[in-house]
Amino acid sequence: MPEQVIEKPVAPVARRSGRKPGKSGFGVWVPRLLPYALLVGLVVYFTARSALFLTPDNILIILRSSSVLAVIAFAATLVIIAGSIDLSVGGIAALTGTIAAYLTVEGHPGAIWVALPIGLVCGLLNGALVAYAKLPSFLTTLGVLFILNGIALRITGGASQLMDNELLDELVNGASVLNIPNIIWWAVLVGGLVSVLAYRTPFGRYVYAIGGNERVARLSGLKVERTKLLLFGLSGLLSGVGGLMLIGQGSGSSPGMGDSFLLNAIAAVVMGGTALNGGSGGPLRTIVGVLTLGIVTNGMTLTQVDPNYQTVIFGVIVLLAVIVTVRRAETGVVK
Amino acid sequence: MTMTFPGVKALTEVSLTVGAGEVIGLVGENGAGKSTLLSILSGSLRPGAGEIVARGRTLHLHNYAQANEAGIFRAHQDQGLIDNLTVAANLFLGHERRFSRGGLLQHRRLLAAARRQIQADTMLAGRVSEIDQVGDLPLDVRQLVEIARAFAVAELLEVSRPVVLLDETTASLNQDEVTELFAHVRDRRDRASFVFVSHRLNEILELCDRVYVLKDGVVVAERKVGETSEAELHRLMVGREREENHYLEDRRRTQFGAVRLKVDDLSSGDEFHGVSLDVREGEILAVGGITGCGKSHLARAIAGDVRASGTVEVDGRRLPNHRPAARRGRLAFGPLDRHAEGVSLLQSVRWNMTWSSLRDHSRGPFLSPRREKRAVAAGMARYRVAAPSMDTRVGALSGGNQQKVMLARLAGSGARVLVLDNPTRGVDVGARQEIYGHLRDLADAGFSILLVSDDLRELIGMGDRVAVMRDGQVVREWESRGLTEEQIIVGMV
Repeated sequence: MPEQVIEKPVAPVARRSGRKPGKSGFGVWVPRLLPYALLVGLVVYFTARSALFLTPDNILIILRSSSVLAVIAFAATLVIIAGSIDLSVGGIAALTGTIAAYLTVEGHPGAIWVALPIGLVCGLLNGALVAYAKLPSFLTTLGVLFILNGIALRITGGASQLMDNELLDELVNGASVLNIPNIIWWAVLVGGLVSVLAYRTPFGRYVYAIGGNERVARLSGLKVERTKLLLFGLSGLLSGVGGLMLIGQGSGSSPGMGDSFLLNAIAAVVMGGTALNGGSGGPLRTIVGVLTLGIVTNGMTLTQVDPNYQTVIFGVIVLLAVIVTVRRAETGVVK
Repeated sequence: MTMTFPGVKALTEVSLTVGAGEVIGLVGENGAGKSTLLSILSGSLRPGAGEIVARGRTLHLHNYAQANEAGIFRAHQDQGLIDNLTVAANLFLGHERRFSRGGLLQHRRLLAAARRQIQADTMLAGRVSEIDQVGDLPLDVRQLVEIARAFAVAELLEVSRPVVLLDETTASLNQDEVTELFAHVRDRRDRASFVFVSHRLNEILELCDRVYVLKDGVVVAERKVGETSEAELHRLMVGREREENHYLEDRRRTQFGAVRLKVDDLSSGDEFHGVSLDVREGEILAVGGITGCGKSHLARAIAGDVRASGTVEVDGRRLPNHRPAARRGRLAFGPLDRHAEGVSLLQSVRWNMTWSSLRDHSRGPFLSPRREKRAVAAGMARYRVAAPSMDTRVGALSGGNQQKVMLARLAGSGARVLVLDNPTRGVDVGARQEIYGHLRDLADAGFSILLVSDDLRELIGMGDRVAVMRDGQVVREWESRGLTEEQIIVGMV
């Protein structure tokens, strides 16, 4: 239900000349900068607490450990902008990774790329159920998550698989450009592509339109169902990419390796300032969320916080980040 | 009973008094501050300065419940009810404690009280049941429930002389219902006072004793109804005389091109059946009829939003049934419920304007922000959208400006046929005439317009031809020249 719109004397009317668009007051910018401020605050804090924190090596460690989450969170961002949610991202990453590792162990290291079409198909399945069967995305993707996790477990019998895949190892762990690990470049590449898609293509704008008001989008003649189908397909495909990165990083698969991504991806997206109601935010903002999570995890380990407390502190940081990023004025009713 | 509160921010030193048994009219253009004023009176906004005095007591209202206890009730413009709750639950929303024992809600008592209210209400009796879900009710019935709620809660709280704020309650009512509502209000004058907000000046003059005219947050005039006229009120509101030529009748076209929109034997469930009509290039076909006659549903079916049998053709090309996306670039639809379906309130003017035409603002597969901004700036200038910038949220604009943003999107979509359901609903007089001007411009540019309207004068004033629907069928059609309101009413009922 839309908020009650209160008639105000329509603010300074720019009928003739007018203010430049985007020129807004201090009050608009402070909340927008708060997530960055939190990020900087965390960096300053951990730098003060540990000499090891702000070193080139450690920065690369943070970036490397955030890369998979970044790729999966980018995918989740677009789905959330459209007002849906994809809970199966971690499940798809786990399944595709497990299959690719299995194929390598079975002697088909070249067949790992099948992870991508499998991810795509899983995503399209989500999309078809949400867009055409009109099932709520939360429950659909939750169901698919269970199914995929189950299949992944079935393939390995619940055991970890160690693999040696030279090609994947080089692609993920090599450092061919500027001595920066390739896995980081992959995350940057995916982030760039998703950002271009979101901000600079009609498809991206349709995603925002659907999240803003699906009825308006439909009556404006937008292909709502097809857009949603493709969107979930993309989410699945990128989760497949994430799955490959995951096994490349860990040199094998383990049961439950995708589990942490479900909630971390959503947390990263929301911490960046993309509202769960849809229609606002964007992939570039998600980077802030991903980095915040990566820095907190890394910093707590460096400063030797009791592992039992780490989850609690992690939760507090997530709440703080959400408090500073949720732009209440923009989202209207908060659910 | 007196209410004064000089010195409010969006309003400047507004003072008004409501006497016992009095019906006060409040008029002003969108954005003049009427709704702000009502929000303050009903406790949902706090005044920057000033006070509200009732029966000699100064009120400090922090929320609507407190306003209720002080005897002030508001029937909202629309969307004051919760869709997924029943009529009974809505009637006593926020006052469930009075139907509770030991912290548990006694449904039966609540339902019985609601039933009593409905049966005692001449407008609702027989039309609605206390267990109906509000979301399933048509807009006009919802509005009546909203009004009934004000009285039901007043009675429940045993407020002897309530002040009821009617915020554009007639906008979604048809002629008969307006008449009933007015009778209803007159019946209750010995027990209650009213503040009535409406864009329809004739209604104000018919119902009220005194009128306050708001302009830019200031009361510019206070008139006894007997001592003023529609023309004077209009002049006070917009600062110019209401022209004879309100609908720009002088710009009516006489020459039309070939048939653009052809609807043949269109039927949809129980809503309407066997509707055939056509609209020529440059022509405006106005469709009227009482609420429930099927005219809004017809518009939706033509727009592909609901299933229908029969054919819809644009420029000789048959449009597939029930697929709005297949109409993009051929036919554009402006729905009745602007907030829910016409514009996306939380998103910017720019985005709202270009969704249907993004391909035109692209270079290859990519959007070109420059082209898009240029198009939006042109649209805002062309349709005179008063907004601080193209990045302003549409929700922050007045109703008239929201409607113009939507119109700009429809016209820019490449479609040459527009189907508009009450495009001036909830739009103030000044902006309304601008919209009429835009429709004339579009007709001159060769657009074919199907205009569904509840406003009789609008039907005659804007339509080149007028069709009237009754019980789901088109029963009459006239050339609008020389047509009178009486003739149309006879066709409608």
